[in-house]
Amino acid sequence: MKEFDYHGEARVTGAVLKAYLSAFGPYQKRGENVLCKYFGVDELVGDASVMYPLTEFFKALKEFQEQFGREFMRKIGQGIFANAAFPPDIDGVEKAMSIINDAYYMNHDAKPGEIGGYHWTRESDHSGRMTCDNPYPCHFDFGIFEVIAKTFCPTARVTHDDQGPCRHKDGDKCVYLIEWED
Amino acid sequence: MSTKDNDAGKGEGASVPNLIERLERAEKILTEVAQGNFDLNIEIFDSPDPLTNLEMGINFMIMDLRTMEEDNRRKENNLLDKQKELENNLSTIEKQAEAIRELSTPVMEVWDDVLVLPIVGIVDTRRSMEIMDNLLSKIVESQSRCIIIDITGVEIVDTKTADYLLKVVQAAQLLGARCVLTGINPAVAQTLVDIGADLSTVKTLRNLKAGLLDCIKFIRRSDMRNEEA
Repeated sequence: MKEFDYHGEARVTGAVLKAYLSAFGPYQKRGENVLCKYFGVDELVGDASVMYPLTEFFKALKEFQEQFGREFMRKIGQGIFANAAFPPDIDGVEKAMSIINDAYYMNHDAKPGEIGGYHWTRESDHSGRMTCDNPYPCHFDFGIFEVIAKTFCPTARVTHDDQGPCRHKDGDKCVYLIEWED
Repeated sequence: MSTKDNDAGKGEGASVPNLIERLERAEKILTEVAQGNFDLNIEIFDSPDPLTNLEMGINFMIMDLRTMEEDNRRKENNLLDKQKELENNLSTIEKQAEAIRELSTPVMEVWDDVLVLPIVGIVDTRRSMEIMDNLLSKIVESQSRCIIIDITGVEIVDTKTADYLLKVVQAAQLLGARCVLTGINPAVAQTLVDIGADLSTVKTLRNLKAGLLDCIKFIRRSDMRNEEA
């Protein structure tokens, strides 16, 4: 899927929105206002029990990517690991990467495969490739991987495969190389 | 100035411009914004310093200004649409008013040489002129000798209305037609007396039927006199 190219009925949890808002620093209320405008609500409930339409969330994300730049998407992605729901017992980079797809579907109300996903391929004891064919922006995913990898290995490296397709450039997926040390 | 499509952030992450560069960038953007260009943005980098908050604030301000500009444009277009609609309605109303005016001053030939002008409603300056034009052109066109002005449908008469009626009668008489005023109701009669309207030169009769009989008699007498002569 290309960036933001989703028009179905899937929903996203308020927890993901909380991560989104954390990137706004002192302007959280302003970020919340933008989301409220798209969702047509007066107030956001930032927890996992409340769901919001994904298509509207993408409209807000797109507006912010256009206004604040792609680096800001990365900043939003960096807040995901701390705020969204993840399966328990994650003890290393590889395990974390291998369960991101489960976490993705834990935080969205969607049929399997409906909103693409995160496909981990182990390459060695210290590296692997993550293929993303979900409609989230390229830099948003980059931010997620960056924080997760560095949580378990501060020297970990995340690199976007610029030789392959990119969702930001109308490609249907992005591939990220993730490398870490013991 | 826009940084919407740059590739900063690939690989290890984008290098953050130094503070001076960022301040210069913010100043340039604010200058553009002051000139009314709201299609601008400041790329936010992963740099937790006070300048980032300033840059975010500028971005929000630009978003607000853009939204307001779009709202204003939308409202302006709506107003223009409504203005066009009102102009169309006004034009329709004017056409309808014209049609009503034409219908409200009919002159009918009810007998050989006899025209009837029934007046209904209020007679103002504009209408009296239309009545006058209409009647005089019909007299010239038909060469009628008698005119019945029936005011059964006139409920209120004031000095001006009485004056208009007299002028119509005098103008018709100048064209050689004989005028009869019919259908004066009691209230109108009382008003005409109260305001001292001079109707001495006009023959008045109770109703249209009486007026028509009077005109027919007048025409017969006139014809007989002509034959004898």
